[in-house]
Amino acid sequence: MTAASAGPDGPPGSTPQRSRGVALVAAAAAAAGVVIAVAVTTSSAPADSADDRAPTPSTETVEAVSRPPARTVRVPAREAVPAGSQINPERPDLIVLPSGTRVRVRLASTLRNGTFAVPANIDAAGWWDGGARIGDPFGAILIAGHVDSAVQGLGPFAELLGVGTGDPVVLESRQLRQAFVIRSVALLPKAELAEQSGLFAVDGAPRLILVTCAGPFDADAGGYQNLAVVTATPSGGVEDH
Amino acid sequence: MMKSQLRWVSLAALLAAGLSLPGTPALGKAPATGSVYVIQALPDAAISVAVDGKQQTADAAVKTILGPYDLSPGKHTLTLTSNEPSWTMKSVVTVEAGKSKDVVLHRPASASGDPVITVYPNPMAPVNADEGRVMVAHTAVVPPADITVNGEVFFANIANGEFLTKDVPGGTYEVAIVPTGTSDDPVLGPLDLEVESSTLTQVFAIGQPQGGGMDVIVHKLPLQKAGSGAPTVINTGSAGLVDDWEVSGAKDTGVQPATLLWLAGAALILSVGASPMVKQLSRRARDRRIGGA
Repeated sequence: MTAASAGPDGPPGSTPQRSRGVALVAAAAAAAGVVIAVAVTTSSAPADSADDRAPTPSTETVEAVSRPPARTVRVPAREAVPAGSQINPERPDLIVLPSGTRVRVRLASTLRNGTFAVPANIDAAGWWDGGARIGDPFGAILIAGHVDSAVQGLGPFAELLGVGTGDPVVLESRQLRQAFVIRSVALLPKAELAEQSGLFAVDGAPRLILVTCAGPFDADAGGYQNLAVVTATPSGGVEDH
Repeated sequence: MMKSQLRWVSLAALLAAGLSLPGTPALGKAPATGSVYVIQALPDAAISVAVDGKQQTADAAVKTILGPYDLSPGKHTLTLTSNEPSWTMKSVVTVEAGKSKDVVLHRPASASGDPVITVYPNPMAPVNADEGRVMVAHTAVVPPADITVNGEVFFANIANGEFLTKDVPGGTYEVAIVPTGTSDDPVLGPLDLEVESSTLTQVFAIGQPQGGGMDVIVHKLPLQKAGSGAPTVINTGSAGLVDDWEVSGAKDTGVQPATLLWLAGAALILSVGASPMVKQLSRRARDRRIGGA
């Protein structure tokens, strides 16, 4: 794969725009009157996937320069490429609940007053934009959905009140999918939410936190008194879909 | 090949490594220029750099980070010159408005190969609060490598000219470079890498293992924050329809805080000291830090 070369301290190789792989070019250094054999390795990829892994030649061009005392050289600048194991995290846009119900997930933010702006339409859930995404190596992915509304009735997240440990949940994003399994279901008094920093932490093992409201309902005390908090952990890797 | 007989490169200089934190383009308006950094990753070479024919730096030693050169969108010519041995490279780099690139002059994977230029796009997208972004780049005379973090493979199978990026919580990570598929005998490290929040930390592995010639160049750039703060109120119901529903899975509500504590307490998915080897290496790494403030 290599050829006679000026070595690591020698002049850069001499290759114009070219295809992937290893190229061997012999270039004459006209100015110096010296013939230089140059090997330019554009890939260090293992043999099994050399073509896939070789950095792509860039559209950027290199031209020969002739400086009388210097060797005449050409080297292509190459665009760095992500390694094959790169995962580009994406926010979830769909959740499949244990029953198989598919719920659209929209980006949602925390308002200035600290309230999480869950989508008004109870048929959609909200992914907290300060949390982890599918493919992030650490942290909590937090998704909240309405349990009900006076106008629309029960929401799909009402199902969470009846799920149990071991039940499956799937998240999907534009290009990614990951399966989770429910590890715990718990009731959290609404007033204690701010103390549960683990629900919103960017560190810790990857996990999925699903939140909806739970009884009792006291109209005179702000409505639902509890949150149902479902914690799930990945049961499989991040996949393309 | 060449995976062993490594000796620790002195990393003391890394503490003083040039960590440039230049300003980002002004907020709120589309930047009219793009940024180009030139990173000199050729050991034992002194490189002069000219941009569009204008001399910028003479005799830049290895690990020098030059720039940023704020350039108008379009093609610009970089001229890299070495006096000993004598050669000149001329490379046309395409600049995009609002984008940042690292142009790295480095060794190829083959020990007998000639220097190459690789253009790395700098991932400048905003990052979540309390997180930083790490990009590791392979610009060394090494076959494809894994990057272990706290003893576990975290960045898998990176070849020369490639890179991997992840967003991680701010903190200090124990990082090592090992030949792909092996867990021992690092070609570099482990050493401590400090990842600051709201910062892009780029780590370029350079040099060659023989003779302890592996090293890293750390390039840090500020990132803007993404996302909103943690909610203190979540209202997800208003009709009282589930007032008396039993939450079937929550019989033992005491589990909840404990579970959360456990999850949060697992500060890293990667267990520290997973093996005697890691423990041993950890001790060796104790006083080696990179990217430190």
